[in-house]
Amino acid sequence: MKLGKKSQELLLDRLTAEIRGEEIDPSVIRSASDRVWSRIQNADKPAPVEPSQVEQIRGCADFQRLMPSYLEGGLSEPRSLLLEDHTRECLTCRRAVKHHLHGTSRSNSAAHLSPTSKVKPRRASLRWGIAAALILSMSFAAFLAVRGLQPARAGHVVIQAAEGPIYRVSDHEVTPLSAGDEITDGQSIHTGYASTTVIRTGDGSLIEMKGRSQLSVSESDRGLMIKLERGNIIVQAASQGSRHLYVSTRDCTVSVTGTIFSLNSSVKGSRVSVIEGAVEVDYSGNRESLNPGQQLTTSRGIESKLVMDDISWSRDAERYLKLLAAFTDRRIDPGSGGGHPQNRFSTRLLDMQPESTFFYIALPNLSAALSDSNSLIEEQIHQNAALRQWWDSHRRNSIDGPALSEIVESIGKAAAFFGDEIAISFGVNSRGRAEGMLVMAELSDSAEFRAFLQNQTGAGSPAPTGGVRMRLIDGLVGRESQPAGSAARKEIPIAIRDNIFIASDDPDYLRTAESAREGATRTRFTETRFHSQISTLYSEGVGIILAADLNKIITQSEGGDSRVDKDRAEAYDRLGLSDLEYLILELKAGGEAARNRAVLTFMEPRRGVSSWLAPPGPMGSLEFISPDANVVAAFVVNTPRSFVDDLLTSLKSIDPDLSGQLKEFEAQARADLREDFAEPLGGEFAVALDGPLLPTPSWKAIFEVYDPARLQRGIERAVEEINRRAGAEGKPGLLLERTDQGGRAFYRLRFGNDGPDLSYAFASGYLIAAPSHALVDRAIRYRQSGYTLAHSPRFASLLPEESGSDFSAFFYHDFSRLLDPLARRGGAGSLAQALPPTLIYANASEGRIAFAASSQPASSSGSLLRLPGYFQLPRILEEAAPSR
Amino acid sequence: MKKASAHVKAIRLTPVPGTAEDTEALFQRHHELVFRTAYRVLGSVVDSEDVLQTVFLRLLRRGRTDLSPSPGGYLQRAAVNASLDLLRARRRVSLVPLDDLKDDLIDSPSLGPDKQLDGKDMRMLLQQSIARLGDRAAETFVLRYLEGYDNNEIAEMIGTSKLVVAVTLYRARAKVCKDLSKFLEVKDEAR
Repeated sequence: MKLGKKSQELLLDRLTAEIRGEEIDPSVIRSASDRVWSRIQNADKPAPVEPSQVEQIRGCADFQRLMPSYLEGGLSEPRSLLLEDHTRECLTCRRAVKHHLHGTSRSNSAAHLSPTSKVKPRRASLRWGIAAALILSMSFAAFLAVRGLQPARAGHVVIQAAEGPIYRVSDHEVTPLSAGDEITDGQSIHTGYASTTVIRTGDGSLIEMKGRSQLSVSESDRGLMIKLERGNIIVQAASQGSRHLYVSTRDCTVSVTGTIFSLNSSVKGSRVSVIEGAVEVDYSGNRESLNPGQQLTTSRGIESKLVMDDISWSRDAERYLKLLAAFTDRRIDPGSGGGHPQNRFSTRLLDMQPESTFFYIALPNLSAALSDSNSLIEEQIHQNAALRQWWDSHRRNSIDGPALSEIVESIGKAAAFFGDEIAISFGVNSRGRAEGMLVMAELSDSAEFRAFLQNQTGAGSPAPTGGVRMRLIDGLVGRESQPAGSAARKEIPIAIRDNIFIASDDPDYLRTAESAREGATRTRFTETRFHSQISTLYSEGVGIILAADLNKIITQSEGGDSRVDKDRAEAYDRLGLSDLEYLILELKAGGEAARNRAVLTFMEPRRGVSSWLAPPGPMGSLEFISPDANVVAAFVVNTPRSFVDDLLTSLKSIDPDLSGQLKEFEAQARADLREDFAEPLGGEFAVALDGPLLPTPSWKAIFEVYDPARLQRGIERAVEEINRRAGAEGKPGLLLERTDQGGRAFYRLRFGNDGPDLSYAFASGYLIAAPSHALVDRAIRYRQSGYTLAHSPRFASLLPEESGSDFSAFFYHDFSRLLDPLARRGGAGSLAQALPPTLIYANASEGRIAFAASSQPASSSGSLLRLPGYFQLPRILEEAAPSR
Repeated sequence: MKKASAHVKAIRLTPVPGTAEDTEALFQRHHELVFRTAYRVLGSVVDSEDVLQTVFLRLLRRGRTDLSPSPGGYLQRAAVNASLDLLRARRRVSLVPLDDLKDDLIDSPSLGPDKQLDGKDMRMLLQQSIARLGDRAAETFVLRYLEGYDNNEIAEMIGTSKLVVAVTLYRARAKVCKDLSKFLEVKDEAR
């Protein structure tokens, strides 16, 4: 393709414009500049470095850091060879070796590095060096003594207590640690799932780490520096004298002299909560001082929490709560501007629902919400089999009454008299039959509303064409009965009491509901768990709520004797779905965009499929995925072992033969699926399509691994056994090749002569697998360069306020890299619009799973009521299970 | 993604006493400008960090903190030149002549079957092309097309006439365009 001059010019202009317009995440710059400044400050104070502290040799600086160990003979042979090779080619490093050998003396003799022997420093220089160091140390100590300052000693960092797994993670290896182990300067420490670890520094400071957190501790001239890469910690800083203890995250630095505080770091930002003492927080060019009970979030994207909630995971939570008791929670949140006007924080309507209520909807009194509510309700109901069944029966029963759409339309005309909320509820009787529907609203002025009704329903006023009209039943319902015939169909019975408007499609249900009101303000519904689940939402502000008592529906729809009914009941039980209690869907305005979520609650602790998900945690696997990824799915499981156990149990019932073959394979290969494959895994998994789809899709899979050596042994044994079997059958087997590059082992698994390839490598506590060596290498380099999905502004804009980037599971897609070129050619514009970047995520806790979605730009096209099909969730879970 | 050369990072310098505080002030004020400038040339966070370190270590070594009349302009040029040094050093180390670059790119996993270049590959090609320019031409090119200065401003910054800048840019641009075109041509043949 030969480009014309104009095309060349255009190409160049486009390329340079793209480069000029490229954004860099400010936190990346901040982190880089912090590191650089720290190095510049220490430029004249080269500290001896342990070889293990240099995780990866990236250039001369790293070689120079290894030189002291090399000269003392403490460097491993591979690294020594690398250093020797490098110094032959690099003049600067030869000079540096000379500098290390002779201190600052100006020797002109060239340093010679023997490939086999280590050069020892001259004894005379050493003696002089020791003497000089002693004099300097004494002088410095005297200086400090004069000033009355005693620096805290931060060295000798040890693990004081560890509950659950904890690891030292470097680029090349993962090493299990336990209580009593020492941590050297700059080493990364990672806590496993459900682990709690306490680290003690030399000055007596304690750092408590929550599970799935990662940090390193180092010491600088200014004081102890804790770098929290991700997760939650609580720091009890010992008195620091004139120095400070610093805790840094991607976007803030907390400096203290003696205090207790908690720090949470995620991709979206950081949250600092102070328990005792005072801290200074530097973030985005600002500096804030925080006192006990105060909290600061560094960005709009991270949610404020009650301080007591922020520290509830701690082993010392009780003590901290006592300390906090004296202080009132105050939050400094630059991202929140108070409650959104559309959100409501209290209601009288919920307390007045009949006890039989099993489906409750609360809408803001907005014309858009009302006009869309009918389609919203029908759409959501039709996504759930049990609800659909109930809804059909309800419509059959109320065929003579006004339809929901007619009621909503009619009530909408009177909305100007209502308060800020309208509640719609449906009830079932003890036999599971539909009882009726209620619509309730608070009246701002009941007298005015009565006058309005008088005008609308006055004698001789015809019913609106094609609609219905409201008929007021004054006083207690029951004195009047509904007129029969066609005229009845055109009227909605309503009642007004204590400034509450109530309408129903069934006068009998209205009568029952009204009679059930005790003291006019509460019903027995307030004593149910369903009520308490809904009322909790109001404390955080609500927009639209759709809540269904699934257990009531499932229980009452079960009991069939047919084989299909029994199979369904069995499947529900196996999946843990028979424990489903409520499904609550919520949509509310918050920050800059509407937020929606669905919550599935369970009556018992989750079991079966639904128990696999672990509580939300930081996901380090995202650091191997680029911001250009098309599709990413990631999840964390409680323990991979239980995950495998469940799979094997299911396999046993689904296909006993296959299960038997697997056992035989395990016996012959001397392998154990649980021990060799599940046990070494960490519990975090991610898969992504990160690159072109053709000719080979650029997929990658990332697994957290706590014991890479054990997993590799398991893989090798499995390959041997597969090859043995394949050889016996005259089939091509697997070929496992190892290539060492840059001090890292890359493995390539080839399936037969012409079969697909799979490459993988271990890095920083993860196994990265992809169809080619290049993709694996590229994934590792993404992490090293910081060019990762976790730092992508587009991904970050989709993250929720409440959990940042901590999820139990998520699915993300951004097809713009694939579709934009097509859209520019006019081929996929509508497709690109229909598939905006979207994040769907799930967060699990013991008795519930919350689902939510966000897209950018919002796909709702301005309507607040376009909700994802959350009511399909039970069906999705059901269908995801192995079929019988 | 090419491995960063360590040439710039290797310089370990001894600071001149008494200038650290001034350097710190300069660093706090201008580190972002230096980093962003380097990033536009290099497209790598790691390399940009190296450049940031190099620029300020050089200042510290020289004990030079008075960068008037325009500290920002001085540091930006320093960042451009340190980045170009790094590009050239990398080119020397990796020995990737333009004609060979096509093999790298065509074998790149980021290329689909239609050999459509993605932004990163084109950027790498542009970097290689800039690294082949002369010192002054490369600096001028970067200031004009990546940093967005106009010819007058560039002339003032590097102390030359507007006409010289215009001619330098014309020649530099023609060379870069030719490189891009040549590469695409070779790629097309390889298809």
